[in-house]
Amino acid sequence: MLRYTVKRLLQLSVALLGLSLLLFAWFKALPGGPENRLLPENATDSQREALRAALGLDEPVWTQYGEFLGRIVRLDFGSSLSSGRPIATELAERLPATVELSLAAMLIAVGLGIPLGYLAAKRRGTWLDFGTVSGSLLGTCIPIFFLAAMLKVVFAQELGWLPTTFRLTAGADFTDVTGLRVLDGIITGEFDIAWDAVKHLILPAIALSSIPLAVIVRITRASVLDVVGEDYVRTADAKGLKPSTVRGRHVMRNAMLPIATIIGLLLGSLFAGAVLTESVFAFGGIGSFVYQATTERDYPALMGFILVIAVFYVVINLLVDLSYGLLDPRVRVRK
Amino acid sequence: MALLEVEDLRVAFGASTAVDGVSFSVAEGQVVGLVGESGCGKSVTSLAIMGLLPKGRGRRARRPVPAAAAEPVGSGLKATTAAPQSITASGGRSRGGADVDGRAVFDGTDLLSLAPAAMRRRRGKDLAMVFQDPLSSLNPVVPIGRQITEVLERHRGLKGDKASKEAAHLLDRVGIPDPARRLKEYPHQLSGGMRQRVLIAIAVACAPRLLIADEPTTALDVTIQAQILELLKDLVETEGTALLMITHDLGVVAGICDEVNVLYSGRVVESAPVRELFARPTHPYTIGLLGSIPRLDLPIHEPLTPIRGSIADVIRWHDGCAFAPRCDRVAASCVEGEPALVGAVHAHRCVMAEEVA
Amino acid sequence: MTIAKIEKLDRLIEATATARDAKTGSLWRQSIRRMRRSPMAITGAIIVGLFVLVAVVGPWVAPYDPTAQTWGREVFLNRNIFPGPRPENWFGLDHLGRDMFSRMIVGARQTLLVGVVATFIGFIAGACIGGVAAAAGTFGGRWGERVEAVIMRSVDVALAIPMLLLALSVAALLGPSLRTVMIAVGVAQIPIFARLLRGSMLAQAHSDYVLAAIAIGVPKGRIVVSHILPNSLGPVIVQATLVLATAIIEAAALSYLGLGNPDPGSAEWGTMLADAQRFLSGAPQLAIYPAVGIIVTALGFTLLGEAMRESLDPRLRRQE
Repeated sequence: MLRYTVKRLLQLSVALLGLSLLLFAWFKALPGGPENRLLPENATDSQREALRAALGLDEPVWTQYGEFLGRIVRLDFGSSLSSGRPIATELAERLPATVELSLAAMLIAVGLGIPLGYLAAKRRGTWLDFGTVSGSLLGTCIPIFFLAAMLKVVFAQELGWLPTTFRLTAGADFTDVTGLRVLDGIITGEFDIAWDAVKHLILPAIALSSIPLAVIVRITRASVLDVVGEDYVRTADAKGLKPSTVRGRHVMRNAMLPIATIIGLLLGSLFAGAVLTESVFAFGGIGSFVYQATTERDYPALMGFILVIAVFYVVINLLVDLSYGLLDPRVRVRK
Repeated sequence: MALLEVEDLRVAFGASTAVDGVSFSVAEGQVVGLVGESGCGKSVTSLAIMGLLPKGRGRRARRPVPAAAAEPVGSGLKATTAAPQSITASGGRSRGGADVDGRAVFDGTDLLSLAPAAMRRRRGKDLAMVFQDPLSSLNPVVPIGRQITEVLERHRGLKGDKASKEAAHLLDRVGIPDPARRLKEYPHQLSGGMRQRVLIAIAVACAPRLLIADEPTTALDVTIQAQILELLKDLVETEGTALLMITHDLGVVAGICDEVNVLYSGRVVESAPVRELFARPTHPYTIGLLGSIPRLDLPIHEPLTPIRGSIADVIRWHDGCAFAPRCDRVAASCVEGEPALVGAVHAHRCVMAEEVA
Repeated sequence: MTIAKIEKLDRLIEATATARDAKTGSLWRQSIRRMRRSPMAITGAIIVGLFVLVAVVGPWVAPYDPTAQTWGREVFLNRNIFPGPRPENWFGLDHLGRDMFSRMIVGARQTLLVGVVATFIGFIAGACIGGVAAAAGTFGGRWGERVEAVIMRSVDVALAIPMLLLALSVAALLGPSLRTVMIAVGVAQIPIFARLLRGSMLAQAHSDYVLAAIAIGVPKGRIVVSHILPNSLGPVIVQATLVLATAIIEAAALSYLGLGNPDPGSAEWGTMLADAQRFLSGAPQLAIYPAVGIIVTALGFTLLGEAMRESLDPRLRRQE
């Protein structure tokens, strides 16, 4: 298990190094080079030269790459062009909001997706199955920003059931512990704050969960269908075990293997989806920041975001791989 | 009185019939063989007794409608291509589910009419089953110890240390060395023979009165096969468990069984005590089976005589003898209606039996 | 979403590699026969057929010029007055007083173009990368294996970036335009196609008929080009159908992020949907028309792709 972990960590650093190379090349290839992005349009040539020197752009490419790497390792992504603040600070401040939103969306997707997928598999060929499968196909086909906007118009603006924007009602007096508002509210005992945060979370989380939900439903259904036909499930039945034991210990524990992989992969794409969802609800997470960065062509900010997301994604995948080892003894022993 | 009395068991998957009126009995402490080619309905029979077939639409399998209504007269000998057994080989994975009819009286109760929950309380306790492929029949992600203790927990109420101790004892009983350590291992860490021993340990965990073994040696090496048969024989003799042995291997039958039922196309075509069957096989199909295995007492150049055709060449039993299309001794009377099972101790289903013998 | 599909397609690769008969193409013929009975395939095919038909004839049958602001004076943005459906404008007017119906019909062509071009870019580039990697790994000896390893590790890195972000970075390089959207969405699909074709070709390379071809001395190049490649395309074509759906949706997302066509006059569903976000509470119909267009089209391609995958996958077939 240890050797496996070390090997995976090595692979991970190689992947990240490759990614940094890609990003560096991307940054260099941006129209007009990076200095144009950091200077106002009417900058003079001398300003330009000074910046080039300051950024080390007159040095050989590999020195520049070294510098680039060094700055990344120090989490120095430069300053945002639109706010002028360090990008790392901006991202760090906004990260908890996105994490909270993504977790909420994943909670919906997993909590609803696995039971639905299981039921669809068990009732294969019935209307429930048909409805679930077509619903999940449809779910992957709705542009997420449109879904978010429609949810907002219908449930927040027209019906007024839920708030339209932000993470809390304006002026709410909250205590910041983890940055996750719901969790903070519960920890500090400010349950009204927690409830307020939940209400603000519901619509964006539903919008963001649409694709992961659809994927989890279908993968669960396929996985359960595969597993219930296995001989060991028949053995479990032949033992006369309670249906709940057969379902939990024999069907679901095996069916979870592919589902766990997919959940890990989906977490990465959730951050991308958050860009679209957060902008609709002005949620104030990384997504809103990136939306702004994209529309204002704030490339250093964009780069910082891509890097953070990629690290997140790769780390999550590592965790999934390791948890796979826990879930599946065959992987654990093979190492 | 017999421990298990199967009467006129019928199993159909949708329109195709897999088991077509099978009757036999297993007495207390007796070893009964159910023999036939793959697809003859023997596995389905065992799964039906255990109540492990996927449920059908609630319709019970009926006797087929009279020939005149179903098929034009005169199509008697023509082999129908629809192989009724095609889906049963996978152990009833078919989506449609099985329609089961008939009776399987176990110790005075008809198992087939028991409610699912009542049947679940009996499975693994009063009657247990050992499957063919030991690797795929064990859950790959659960330690084998847990797979044994869960039966003990369910049927004998043993928990924690008591259950583990009993599980180790069971592993020891089926001949697995160092049982305490093995409990924590996973199926893929064991050899094929060991896995089959684990499956047997699971099956005998609650001292069932009837053990059903479905081709328990087929997936194993020949040397391991003998060991597993020895183990089964030993269990049967010391515990007094009745054993229903399902196999295509006449060698296994000769080695372990007291009584044999030969199945063809979903029906018993011959049943006899084991010595009697080997000494005086009566049904041409049984004769064919015996002719297609190598014998040590014949010169090695003597060619084997395979049964021609395949089990897919079938006519329906109510039109005549289902084996007729493959039979060397077929006569006109073979396809004039359903042949009856005649004889008491040594019974056979062949109208030409007198001439054959 | 796409990665989830890779898992299933990996299975399909195995399946097509093992199920390949002596007769080339018989697998496809079988699967077409099977698809004719599948309601999923029929629905998908009808939707896709209608969509392509509209895309082709759209500009000729549209009642009005989609860019002409003919009824501009009847729309009042600040008072939320957007004339709805009426005899001369079936779908009503958009925020600039243009005929929505004409814009939808004409927009189908642009939308199809975005999807097809993006998929094509991903398909060709991905197929080249994956094909080279597989061929090098199988027949290139030790150096070939290294080349394959390097290529595939890079593909893995690219796969680690969520697709929308990949598209975002490409779009940042090229500046906003419809062409950017096509290239960005296409580039984002390259790693998936590369991984898929490589996997598929490797499965074929180890199949019996390729071993037989090697044994009788067919040149390696010819084995790759005339045996392995044609038989490896099945899963990739299925993926292309599914990607068409994704491409249309992702293109809309890029438009929403302001990276699409900067010219508000052009009629393309993604751009129209993005533009309509501003008037969502006042005139949701402006968003709903293009959104329904996108959703239904994407659904059509998804249904078709899924039906194709199912009909080619013997493991699923057996359960029928």
